[in-house]
Amino acid sequence: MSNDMQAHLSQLYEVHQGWLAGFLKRRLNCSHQAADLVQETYLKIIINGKIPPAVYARQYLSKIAKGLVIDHYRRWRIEQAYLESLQHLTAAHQCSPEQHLQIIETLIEIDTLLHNLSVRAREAFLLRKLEGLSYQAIAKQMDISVSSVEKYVAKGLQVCAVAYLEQTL
Amino acid sequence: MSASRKADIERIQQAAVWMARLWSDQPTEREQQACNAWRKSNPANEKAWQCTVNAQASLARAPANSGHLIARSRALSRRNLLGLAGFAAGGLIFSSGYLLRKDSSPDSYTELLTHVELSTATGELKKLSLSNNNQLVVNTATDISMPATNLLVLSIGEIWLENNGRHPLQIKTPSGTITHHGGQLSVRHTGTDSQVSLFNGKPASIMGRKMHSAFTLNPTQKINFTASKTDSLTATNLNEISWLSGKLVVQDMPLTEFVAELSRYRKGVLRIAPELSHLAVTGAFSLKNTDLILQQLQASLPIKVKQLTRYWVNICAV
Repeated sequence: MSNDMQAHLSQLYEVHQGWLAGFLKRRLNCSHQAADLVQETYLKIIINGKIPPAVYARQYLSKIAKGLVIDHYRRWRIEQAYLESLQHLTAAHQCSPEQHLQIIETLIEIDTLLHNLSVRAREAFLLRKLEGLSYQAIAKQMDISVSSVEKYVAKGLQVCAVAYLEQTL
Repeated sequence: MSASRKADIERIQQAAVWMARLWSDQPTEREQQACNAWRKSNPANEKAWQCTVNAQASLARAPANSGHLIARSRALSRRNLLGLAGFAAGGLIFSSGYLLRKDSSPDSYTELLTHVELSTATGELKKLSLSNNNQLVVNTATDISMPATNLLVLSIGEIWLENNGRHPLQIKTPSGTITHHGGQLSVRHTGTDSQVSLFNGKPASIMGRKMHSAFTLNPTQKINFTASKTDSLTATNLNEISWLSGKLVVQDMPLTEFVAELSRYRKGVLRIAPELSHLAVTGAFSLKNTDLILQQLQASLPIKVKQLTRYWVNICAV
């Protein structure tokens, strides 16, 4: 990091970290987690290597922070749901901590990919893709027509592909 | 959005429609050829097709129950966002529905209730009033919804229902549908099957999703069923609804089974060594403090409770 950038960064930290911590604390309801995410916000700026101009700094920082809060809650709820599901498994299904972590990462990835999908479209799409049910079986289970199932599946494929396109850009 | 990006997204939309057609139950040879022709007609089409294929890579690594996990996690977050005040509001939607029904048409009531959804967190209990003054109690880690006045969907968890018998109520679980004509009943769906106990009232009828005919459950009977088959009938056991008063009451229950029950009320993972299955538990435990229950077990049985983290507890032999 250049000296110039370092100076800008310290200034950005001094001026903004106070309100940013408050902003995050209100959303997370916890000052420790807020402090962690303040650090992560600045870390993102260091990784991007771009210091925002002073007039946009507040806007820029809050945008990054909001994204981090969303990620934080997504991880939280997926971990909770996964932990709950482990209770129903028998000892034979036990796997290593690394495998648990990997499953959670995959679930987070899928949840992100399917974020912009309606509840019913997500259900239909996952029943076809993951459980391999026929359109007819999905239609029966969800109490909708076969043509609606096909429409939902197409919507699922589309949303997935668009999210993927955005990630790879 | 730039024009080229807009075009990319339009192509992806077309690719998705083609793929959904080919994924259908009986795609024809002609549809297959038409799709190939579309892909060949323009390199950009082929690119959109590949993008749609590649986007699904993470889905291939997904565990089979991902759909349920994601749905449940979203229910948790909805609840989390609503907070405690929001939860009371969830109750109000049900109760105000009841008020509306008194002096307006049933249709508006149904409309009001469409897609009402409620979730309880691990260790939480929620009491609600439904239309006709029917009472509903929702146990720990449960997702329910009410798409219509007379239809209650239990996706996972456990409920207790008192139907005053004026209107039948259907309860749908992943295994099938229970038609409840009146009385007190509990329904539980936690693993792969559904369990129904009818404590009193009128006979209920049960139809598994893949069954060809319904069967009848009489008062004081309990049954376990999956989409296609049923276990034999047993007698209802009042201990099984001790959760209604915040307790876990058991008599000679194998320790492994007891721990599985307890873990439903406790956040995190609770595991027990299989060799402890010969031990049994009798007693009434308060679900308010599951740490205390673990201590009580350790004090009275030859076991060791190892707390790896707050959310990961192993129980093994001394």
